[in-house]
Amino acid sequence: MNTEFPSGELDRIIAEIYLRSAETLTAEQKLDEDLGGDSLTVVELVMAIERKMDVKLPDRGIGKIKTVGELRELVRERWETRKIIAS
Amino acid sequence: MWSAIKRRVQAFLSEPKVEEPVLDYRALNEQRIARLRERGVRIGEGCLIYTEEFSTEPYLVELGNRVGVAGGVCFLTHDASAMLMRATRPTVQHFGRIVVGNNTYIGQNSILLPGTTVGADCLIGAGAVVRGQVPDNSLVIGNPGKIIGRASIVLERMQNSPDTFDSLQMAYDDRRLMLEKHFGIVRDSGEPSSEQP
Repeated sequence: MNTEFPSGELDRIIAEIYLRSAETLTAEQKLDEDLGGDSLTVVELVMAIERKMDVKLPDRGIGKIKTVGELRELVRERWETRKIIAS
Repeated sequence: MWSAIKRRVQAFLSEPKVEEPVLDYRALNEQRIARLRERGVRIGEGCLIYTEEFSTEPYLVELGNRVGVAGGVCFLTHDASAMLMRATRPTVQHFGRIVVGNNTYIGQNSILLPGTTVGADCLIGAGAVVRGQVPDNSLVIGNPGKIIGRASIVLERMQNSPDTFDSLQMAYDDRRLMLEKHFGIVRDSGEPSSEQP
């Protein structure tokens, strides 16, 4: 099992869903206003992250996420928790 | 000729003006539900239904509690393509029940095909064509309808959206003013709505 959080993979998933280049993503970018998504895009994003990174994201937490940076933090936190439980 | 026109104008002006009726959507909803129940649709408590397209077998449709059904939604309880078999079976027909679980919302102009079961707490996006089994808490969009994720994520996002208001009980004009201000809409008069009374 990898011990390091796969941040590159997360950015690739975000970029794929929002039709962007992963290199252009910044922590301050807002998911809706800056990346041009809506609530359905967020659902697709969450499902893709859960499927590809094997983590379960909390709906309530997702509801409050505004920026790419906040999303990275939430996924990292859940990924770390999963790693602890798995070990 | 001028006197004839003048008479018609005077007649028009002297006609009693008819007040636009204020639509009481709650009463209309209750009346519609009563009609549908009479036709055999099983409808739970607290539903909001804006369609009467319950097919020719409305008694095959069952809606749970607090189900929302938007305008233009169509429940199809039969498959009329069975007619293609009538060369050999002249009276053949094919039917299917439709069941919708509690607390589910079915968006504008969706179509639910015969044999469909939608679970509880689901969201069916506008225009979706839904068939088969839809598990609880599903978000379904498109044609053919696909489950793209959890409905609860959409509701959590909506809960935290700046475009979400507690405005259901507001008077029409108050809500209009609030929304014009929120979305920065300027009326044709040129004045920003926030400056209007």
